[in-house]
Amino acid sequence: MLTAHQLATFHSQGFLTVPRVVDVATVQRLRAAHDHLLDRWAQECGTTRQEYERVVSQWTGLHEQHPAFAMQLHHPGVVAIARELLAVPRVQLFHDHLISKPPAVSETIPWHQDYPLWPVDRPHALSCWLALDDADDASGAMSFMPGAHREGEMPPVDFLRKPKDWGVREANKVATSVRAGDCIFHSCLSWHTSPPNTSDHPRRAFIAIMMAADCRYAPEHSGWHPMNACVSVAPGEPFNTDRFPLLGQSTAVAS
Amino acid sequence: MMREISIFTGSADLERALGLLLTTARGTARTHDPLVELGAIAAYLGSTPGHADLCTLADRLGLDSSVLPDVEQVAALFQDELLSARALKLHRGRNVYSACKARLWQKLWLPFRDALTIDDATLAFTSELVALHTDDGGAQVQQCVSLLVKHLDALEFVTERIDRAGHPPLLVARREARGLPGRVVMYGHYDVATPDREAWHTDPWTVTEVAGRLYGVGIGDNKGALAQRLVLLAQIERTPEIVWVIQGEEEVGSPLAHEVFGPLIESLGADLWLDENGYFDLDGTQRMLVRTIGDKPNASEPPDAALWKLIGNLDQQSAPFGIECRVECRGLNKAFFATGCPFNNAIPTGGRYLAIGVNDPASRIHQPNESVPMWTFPIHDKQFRAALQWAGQHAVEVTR
Repeated sequence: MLTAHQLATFHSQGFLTVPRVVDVATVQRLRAAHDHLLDRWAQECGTTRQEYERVVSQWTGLHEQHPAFAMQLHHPGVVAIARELLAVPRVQLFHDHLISKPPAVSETIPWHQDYPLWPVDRPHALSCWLALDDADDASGAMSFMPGAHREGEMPPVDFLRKPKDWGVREANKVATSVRAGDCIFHSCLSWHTSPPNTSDHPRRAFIAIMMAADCRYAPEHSGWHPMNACVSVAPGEPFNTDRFPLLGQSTAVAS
Repeated sequence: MMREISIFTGSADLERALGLLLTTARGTARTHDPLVELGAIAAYLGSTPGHADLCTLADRLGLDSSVLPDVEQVAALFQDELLSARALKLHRGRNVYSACKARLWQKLWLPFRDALTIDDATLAFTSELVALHTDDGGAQVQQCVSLLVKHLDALEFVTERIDRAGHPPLLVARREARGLPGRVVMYGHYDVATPDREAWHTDPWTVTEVAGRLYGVGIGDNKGALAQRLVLLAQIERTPEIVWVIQGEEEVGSPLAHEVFGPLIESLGADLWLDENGYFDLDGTQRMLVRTIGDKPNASEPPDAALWKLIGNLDQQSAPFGIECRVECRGLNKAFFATGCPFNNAIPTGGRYLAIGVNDPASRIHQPNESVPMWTFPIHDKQFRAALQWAGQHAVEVTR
């Protein structure tokens, strides 16, 4: 259970780092699973592991590809924190993904909000960014603009266009520093970015996007999103649970 | 988008831009949508002969081919993007930064972009003109006229505005010669056919790019070419004297122009009579309309020797784009009104007539979803300049 201070921090800042949510053994299992998948994926693509990792840096729907990731999505501590932060009895997966920033070949992910990119009817969701490696500013950890989520939804950011300019506000940026197993929970309206990994060690993060289970499918909000292809319900209906599973058991919200 | 790549449409943006590059480099037939599958583009541009064609194209267009990556680098750029695409298809992996697409765009397309598509200034002014409701009874006719006069003033034209009750204004803009002898009389119009909104796929009053084409009411007839010529005249240093007649009721039969043009135009005399627009065809040729005017109004006689020289000059301008010219001895088809085109009717016997522009057979003039291809604008740019230059040279030869 989160402290009142943690809850207040999340709501005022838009993000919250919770240390040691996931134990070392689990982190190692997830790393090994990713490592195993990388071998398979490189082979599928007919290339070497090194070439593959130089080019491909993000994978979606890992819970459908390896049981370790499926199990992680139902991690009781993570799900409980998500419910508490969203103040809902049930959370549903929008999607999971793993982003890898290997040394020397990564780039900046520009400032953006996540929610404008999703075909979801309301911004009642968060991401749990689980560090699989220790990460700081030098190795590509996330930075946030504290409180900017309270300014509401802005038009979606196109990563290939001119980056957002915060002006003097840039000085307010908060860079995070995490250990493997720590989780950063951030609002779907938080503004975040991450620099290239200039260190000599990998920076992997497994991210679960969890939404309140009463969110509805809204393709008009983001017609281009790849997850549209996984939806089998009509617009305005709750998401199909075969591809968008409910996470953990239903419980009352802690008051 | 042909001008900018977007993360939301990146694959198609790239396949359209590089598809146009491929088609232009090979000089093959144009297509309604320039999109070519990336694997096919990679196989060609990443090969030694394909890369050589790319460098030759850069040379033909007067670009610096030394900025282009070498053939191994091109092949490597494509290899990365194709790997990313394969990962997406096989196991939902991708390059999170779209960096492979961005690099291909930057290294292969940006060096050619401005030479192969409409420029930003013309696009902006075309968009401004299309946004103005200048259909029959449209609320923004006066606003459009003011905008045109403002631009003509900036170009140092002296513009006479002919206002008659019940008619939109007709403009007669004159500019003295600038470094070249001779006179060119040009025609244009700012009115558009009333759009059937229900039948349009996009807002007819907003220029919208779809699949390498620009959609908007009147963009092919005649606001696209009108905007481009106004933009170009600000850039061209030496021109003959220009008289530009621009009317506002072509789409309702041109009653005022029929009354005014006859006496006005008869008095002018010109080395060249340049019509409002013209066409490219999808088979990789330009439909160049060239004629001398016969002894009846709007009658077509074959081009004379002077006009054949002009045709040769214009052909030289389109050749670098892999476009060949096909000459047709006639005027633009404006048969939708029995009274015909007042400009064409008023050109005196022996007048040398030319119709070039930016349209193609898919432009759907007067129909819903009117559009122009983006790749024709740079060619019209070069040919418009060449036509003015020719008029100056022709005037010198006549004097001799």
